[in-house]
Amino acid sequence: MISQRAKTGFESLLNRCLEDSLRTEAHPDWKMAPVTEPNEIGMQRFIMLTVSSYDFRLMVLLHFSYDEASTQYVADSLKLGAAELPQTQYYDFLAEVGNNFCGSFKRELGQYFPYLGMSTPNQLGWESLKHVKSWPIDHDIHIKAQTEEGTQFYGSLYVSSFGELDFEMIQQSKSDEVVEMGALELF
Amino acid sequence: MNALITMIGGIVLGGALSALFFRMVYVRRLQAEWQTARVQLQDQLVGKVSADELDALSASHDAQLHEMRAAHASQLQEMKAAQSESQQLLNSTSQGFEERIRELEQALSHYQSNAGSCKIELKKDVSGLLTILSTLNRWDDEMSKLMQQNTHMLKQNREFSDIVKQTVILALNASIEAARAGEAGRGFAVVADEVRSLATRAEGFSANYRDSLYKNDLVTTATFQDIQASGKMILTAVHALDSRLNKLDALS
Repeated sequence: MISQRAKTGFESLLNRCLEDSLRTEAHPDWKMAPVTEPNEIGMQRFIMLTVSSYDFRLMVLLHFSYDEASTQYVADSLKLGAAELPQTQYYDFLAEVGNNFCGSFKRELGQYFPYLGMSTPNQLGWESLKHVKSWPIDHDIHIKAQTEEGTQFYGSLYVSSFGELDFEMIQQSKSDEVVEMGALELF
Repeated sequence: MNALITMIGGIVLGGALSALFFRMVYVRRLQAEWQTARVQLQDQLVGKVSADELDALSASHDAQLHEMRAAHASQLQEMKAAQSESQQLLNSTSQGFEERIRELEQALSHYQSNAGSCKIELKKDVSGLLTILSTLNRWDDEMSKLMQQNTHMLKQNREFSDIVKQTVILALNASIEAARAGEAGRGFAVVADEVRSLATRAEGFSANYRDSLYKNDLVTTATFQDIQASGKMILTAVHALDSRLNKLDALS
């Protein structure tokens, strides 16, 4: 059973963490929007990570398609030309984005839940995603991140709780956020 | 503790001796006052009272003085007995205290020895648990092999699927050619239909198998990730325990 304020907190964290992890010097502005129908995501692949606690298990997904727009985003972020970007470097970069996305999510949740553990990222094809409901998922959230140039990524969160799950998110001031963005990320 | 007992004993004994001393001083003062009063009375009664009366009075006073001395001696005896009893009580109490202190010291030493060995055992356990990271890395390697195997199986499945598609097309072509051959090709048409039927079933089977492989990818990944994340969660808890043990070490 997940409380309403916990659901709101998860959604807010997911938005903030995805935006922070996608933001680069070359692509600082992202427009975030909720996705009510997960079937509309339609990306080729996704990076998957897990956060485990005594109270819950979270699956955090970053969806992407290996297309021209996303290749340009990765190349710009790495300060390379799109043509000279090897595919392995493209996937490695997105795995790192997924790692930062889930890592900051875990770090934020660490304020409310002690002893959290996080996995390393794995990449899977969209065909696997339809089986995600094989687990007892209590709540799922999906968001879309898009730049003005049309680069698109999606973020998803699947929550399985092992009992009552409740927390109230502490609102952060802008100055706190600036300090956090500059902090070294350690998982 | 011994010093405390000696101090308490000294206070009790000192009190008893002080009481005895003041009592003796009081009796001596009474005797002196009595002698003074007697002389004064004799002086006052000279010529007023007969010698016999004076002797009788003197004898009576002597008797009273004797009684007082006897009472004083008796009280002195009682106080000496009380003092002796107090001394015995003090000795036995002191002995009891010393025994109790020895017992407590033994218990404390036993507890310290047990706590020390428990702490050493706990530290060993914690160090052992901290090596869980190497186990997680081993699982990670094995999971990667499993994922590679899944990828290989998906590739094989795609090849199989391509062969099946080709077979369906060939069976269809065979049916067309059999139809062109007319009566002579009737038997061949039956065979071509059977082949096409088998190929269609194989196509369905291949699709189901591919779907199972995709599911297998997700199940393997999610299960492994949960084990990995839970392992790290336990590691975090063990680190916290280790830190508390170190704090405990610093305190003792």
